[in-house]
Amino acid sequence: MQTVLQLGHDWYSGRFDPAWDRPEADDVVSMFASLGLTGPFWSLS
Amino acid sequence: MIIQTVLRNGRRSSTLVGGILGQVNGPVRAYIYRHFRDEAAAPSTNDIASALGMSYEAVTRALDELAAAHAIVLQPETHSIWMAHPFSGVPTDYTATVGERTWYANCGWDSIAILALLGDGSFAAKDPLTDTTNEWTVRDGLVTPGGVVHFLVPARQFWDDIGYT
Repeated sequence: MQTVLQLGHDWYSGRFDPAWDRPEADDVVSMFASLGLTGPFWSLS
Repeated sequence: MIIQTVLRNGRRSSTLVGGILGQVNGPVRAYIYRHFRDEAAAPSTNDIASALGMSYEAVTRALDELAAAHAIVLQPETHSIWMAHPFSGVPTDYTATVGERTWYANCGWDSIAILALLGDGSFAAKDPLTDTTNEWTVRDGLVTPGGVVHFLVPARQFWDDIGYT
């Protein structure tokens, strides 16, 4: 549950900013990995 | 760059990564998110047009483009906003509450994510089988009680069927 709270923060931060943009795939995978979310389930390729 | 994937039905769809949104319709997208944050509800097309000084037609075009880019989800065959993740424009079994205000979320993760964006509060999920509601609290960034969030769909397939995801 605590991991998902952090994932929500990392994933959705910046959405209120008009200049916000999606991160690139490598950055998303790195963000997942920083939370321990690894393996095929969290792969984008 | 938007990565393209071919869905099972043959349509092509952008995935959840790739940086083009900031250059296209950023003010409309941000207004939608701010409206959800401030009003706990989706803005209407007229709300957006009035706030941003745009024509109705320009707003519907922007909404279509944002939906095509998977920045938002529209209710089928309309320009009513269904989802601007983590917010839901329609009632769901998942809610997040901060102070006196409650938002609908699209799923369990999104209900927690609303608190991640807006601050300490509580979130709840109703079990559709038993009609019971479970509630958690976030205080100083700590979730109690503990629990597990089950992600049904692998990350690379989140947008294959976003309603199911």
